[in-house]
Amino acid sequence: MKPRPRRKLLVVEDDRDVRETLVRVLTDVGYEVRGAADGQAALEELRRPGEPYPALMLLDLRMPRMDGRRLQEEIARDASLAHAGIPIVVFSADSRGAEPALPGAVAVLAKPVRLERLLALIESVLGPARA
Amino acid sequence: MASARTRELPPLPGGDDPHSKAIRSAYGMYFADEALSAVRHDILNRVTAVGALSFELRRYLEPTAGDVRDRLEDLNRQIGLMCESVSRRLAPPRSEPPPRCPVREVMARVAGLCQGPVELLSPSAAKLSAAIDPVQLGVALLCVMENAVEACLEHPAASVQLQVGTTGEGRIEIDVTDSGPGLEPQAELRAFDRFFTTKAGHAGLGLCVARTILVRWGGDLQVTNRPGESGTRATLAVPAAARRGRAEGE
Repeated sequence: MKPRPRRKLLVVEDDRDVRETLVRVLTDVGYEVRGAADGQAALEELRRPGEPYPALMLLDLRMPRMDGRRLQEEIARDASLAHAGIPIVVFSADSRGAEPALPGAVAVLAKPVRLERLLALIESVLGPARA
Repeated sequence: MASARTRELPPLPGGDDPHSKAIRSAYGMYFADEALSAVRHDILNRVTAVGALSFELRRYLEPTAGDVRDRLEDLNRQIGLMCESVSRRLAPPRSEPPPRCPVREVMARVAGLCQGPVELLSPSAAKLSAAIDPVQLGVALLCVMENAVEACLEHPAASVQLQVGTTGEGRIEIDVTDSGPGLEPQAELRAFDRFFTTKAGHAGLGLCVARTILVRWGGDLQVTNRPGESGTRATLAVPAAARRGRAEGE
């Protein structure tokens, strides 16, 4: 059987340790993973010519320069990105939901994010990392 | 945004009424809350990173690695407990169901609290009600107004205008425009970075406090330089309150 192409993920998180660890673990599990340090860097990644869009975006809300909310607004304004309908899993530091989730988010994970929970959620949205 | 450009004096100069005092006394509390939020965010990131590293280590070990793997399972269990504890103890207070906030009245009270050239417009908007706690809207607006008034202090001809209107999408927008020197490019880009400031003696939290409050109530804050003019425009957006039915007395 022909192996299924690896699913691409984009991790948008300003904390370098969290971002790099998530990229490493998710890559090790079998996804193709890119990291972006803020919303602006994520937009540049999403608009890179010739690159397929990620199958899922993991997005922190609180970031410098361009935060998660502004990124979502930019995506909604960009016809091509909006049409792609990239599912978003939001990381929130507000575990009681006092901060409303982004429109279009498929799930909100309260920080601290547990890897077991995150992997199960990604699999439920995309299916297994490797066929 | 429709508005009648009629100059009005601040109706409550000095802010000695109980509502203005409530806004002033809540102001410091929300700054402390914003600083705590920054600490909470950092702690939660560190716990996330430690948990991810532990997860990674367990994956590298063979199932037969015995004691080492068992100890890592213990470590992971402790991290799970720490996650729950941190989430429970550092969570911000839950918001109450949205009340009806008389927006222009709050604007008038905050204008009365500001020591500067403030022009309050939109007299026809007296009946606009927003779904946000009035004291919290007052704190958010005061944070924004203090920046605007301060921007005008060294420029004698500069002033701050305050007006309100509806967007037709169930939102109310308060515009705070000043004719001061405007924001430097770096400051415009980093306006909402916690602890970022270009002014000596400032904490760099005011706009963050305002935005945190507005976002919690389903609103937002935008701050930009005015295109083609000097000065800045801050737009505080809040959801309009649902219309009252007959049963509620209207």
